[in-house]
Amino acid sequence: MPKKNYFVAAEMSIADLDAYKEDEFNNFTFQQFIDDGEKNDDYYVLGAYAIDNDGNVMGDQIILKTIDSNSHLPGKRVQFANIVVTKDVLDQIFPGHVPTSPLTLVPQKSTNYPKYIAYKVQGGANLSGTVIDPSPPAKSP
Amino acid sequence: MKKNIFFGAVISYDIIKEYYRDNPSFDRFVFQQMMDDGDRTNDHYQLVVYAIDKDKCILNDEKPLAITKKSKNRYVRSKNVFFANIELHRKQLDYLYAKSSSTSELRLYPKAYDGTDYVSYVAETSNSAAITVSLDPSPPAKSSA
Repeated sequence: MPKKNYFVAAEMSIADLDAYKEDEFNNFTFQQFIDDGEKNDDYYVLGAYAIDNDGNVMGDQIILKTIDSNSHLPGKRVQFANIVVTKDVLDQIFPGHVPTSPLTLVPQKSTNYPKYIAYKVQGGANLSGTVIDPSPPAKSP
Repeated sequence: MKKNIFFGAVISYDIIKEYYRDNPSFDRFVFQQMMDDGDRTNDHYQLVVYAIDKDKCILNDEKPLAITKKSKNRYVRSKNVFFANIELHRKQLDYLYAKSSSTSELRLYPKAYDGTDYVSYVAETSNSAAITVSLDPSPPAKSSA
C-alpha cells in the first residue's frame, strides 16, 4: 500500500501564547516535524518558536497539541516551509492584545502556492480564520 | 523500518552569478526540504531554493531555482525529523566566493544540527574544501546575518 503523508491540525494553548504579550515580540514561526518517522505513514505536526524584533528566538520551542480530525492529505509531492504568524495577525484575533482562547491552525492546500500547505489560523475574535501561506514563496513579513 | 534520507545538492555558478554577483538587491538564498516521491516506503528529502532580496521579496518569480540533487551525499534519520527554512546570506557567500575570479558551483552536504532533530548543511565551493559555511535551520538559528 502506498505511503501517506498527513498534515495535522494543531492547537496552541493560551499559556504558549504568552510571548505575544511581550513588547519585543514579532511573530510565531511554525514548522512541521515528525516524531514517528520510522512508521510507514507520516504525520506532520507543528512546532513553533516565538521570535523577537531582532530575529532571535524567545524561549524554548513550543510543541503544539495535535487535532487529528483535521488532517490534510497532499499527493506524493510534499514541500516544507516556515509559516509565520505576525503580531498584526494575532492582534486581529485578539483585539485586546490578550489571548482569550487557544490558537488553532488547520492545514489546507495553498491556493496561491498549490505545491505547498497553508494553514488557516483561528481563535478569539476571528473564528472564520486567516489563511497564512508558507514563506517563501509568500513574502516574509 | 522506514528511513528519512536527506540529500546533498549543487547549485550552478550561473545561479550564483545571476543573483549574488550581478544583482545588488540580492540578500540571501532560502532553502527548504521537499520530497516528490512521498508514496514510497522511504522518504527522500531534497532541497529547493529561492533567491530573496533586501525587501524579503522573491527574485525568481516565486518558482524555485534549479538545483541538482547529489545522490551520493546523504544523511539518514529515523524517528524524529524537524523541518525548517535554511538561509545562506550574502556575507556567507562573500566568504565562500572571496576571490572575484571564482566561478565554482556551490555544493551542499547534509548533517545533523547541533545535536537536535533538525538538519543543517555544509556549503563549500571547489576553490578550497577548507573554506566552508554551515547553513543552519532558522529558527532555531537567528534569521538575519
